[in-house]
Amino acid sequence: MIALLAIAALAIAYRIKTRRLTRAEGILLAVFAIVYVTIALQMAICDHKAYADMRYWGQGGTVLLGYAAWGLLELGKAWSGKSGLAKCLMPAVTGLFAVYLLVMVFKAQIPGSRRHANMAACDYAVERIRADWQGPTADAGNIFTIGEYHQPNRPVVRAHTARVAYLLGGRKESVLHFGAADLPDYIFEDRRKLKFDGLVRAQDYQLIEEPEFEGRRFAFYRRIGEAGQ
Amino acid sequence: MAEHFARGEWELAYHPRFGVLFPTLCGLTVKAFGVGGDTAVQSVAIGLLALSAIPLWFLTRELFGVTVAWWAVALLLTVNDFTAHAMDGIRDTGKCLGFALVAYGAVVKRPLVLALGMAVLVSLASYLFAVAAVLLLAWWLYLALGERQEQASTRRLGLYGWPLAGFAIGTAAVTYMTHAYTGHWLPAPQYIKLLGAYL
Repeated sequence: MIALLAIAALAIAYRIKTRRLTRAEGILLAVFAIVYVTIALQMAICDHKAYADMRYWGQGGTVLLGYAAWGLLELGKAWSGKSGLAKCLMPAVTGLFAVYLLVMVFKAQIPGSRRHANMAACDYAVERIRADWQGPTADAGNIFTIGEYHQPNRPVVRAHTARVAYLLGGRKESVLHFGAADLPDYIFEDRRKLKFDGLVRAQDYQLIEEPEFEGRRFAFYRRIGEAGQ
Repeated sequence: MAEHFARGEWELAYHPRFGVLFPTLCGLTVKAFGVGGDTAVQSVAIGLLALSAIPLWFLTRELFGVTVAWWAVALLLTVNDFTAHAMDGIRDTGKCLGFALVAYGAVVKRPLVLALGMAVLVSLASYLFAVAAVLLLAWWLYLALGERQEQASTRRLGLYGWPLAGFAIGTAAVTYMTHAYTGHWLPAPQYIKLLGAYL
């Protein structure tokens, strides 16, 4: 997305320089500017942050995809005047799009891909935890905070994907919002990304196993003294 | 949340952080088709991304012609950030739809399209309330500055009124929901913290 926004920015600059920018485009660019400035101001005022995940920035760029497409096509046209190879450009790019789409749709099924490993690890974690957990299926009473959605379902799980907790019928941990009330009953996480801290402490957890999926090692922990044992 | 919605467990079907549009669409999908919550969120997220192709195509055709419009749609449907969000079943693809609707509505001066975009944005994510509010004010300012160009008063009323109506419908939905959970008549939970001393 950043690459496309960069291409769009170059296309806009080129259109301004060659005096091709229309009034309607001015309205479009105003919409884009308002969206980004308002999001940035909210982050600064409400969250005291100058940075947010691409999730919060990328979608505003939707309205500039026309510029990115126009820029790419103009580049293709400019190049086609200088190279015979460029005659193959459009079919080649179209073919690449088709391959890319196929990979996107089926990458969970491609052995060796990160998504494939994640899904295999997820299925394994669900099976292991379901067989192990003997505690309650829900906590008594609901906890509500404005900061985080919270369900009473148990077990509480920290995993490489929230899907593990969902498929178990449990809930993912929200230690940051609920503190000790939401300590994970199980941890099933990529070994390299796993971090313990002052609240979720290593000494409170027992390592059950370290299964490997497509070359990635995961760590499976159970909380000591919980109903899973 | 979608499954709680389908079971009528309203307390767990919504949360002020997540707006009303996405949980409602996902909940209705579970209720109508009997699918699981994960299938529902993926379907709705993919559907919202696919729907955003329509206003983007019309917007780009208006500015650059049909060929560029098709390429813009191809980019939209293959950008990794968007497709990953769709596959993960998160509401962010709805923002593509909202922004594309607002941009198209503003560029071609179609107040109903603008209204729909406003309603989508406000009801989708709490931080988009302020974005939509500023967009609405900017739209009114733009109309006021170019007032002489619009002769028919009925059309002028529609240009001002419909976007406001879309914004108001979205605001009413999120404000009602925020009040139900927090007791504050505010459109988004972050304003509770921001206006804490005055509430």
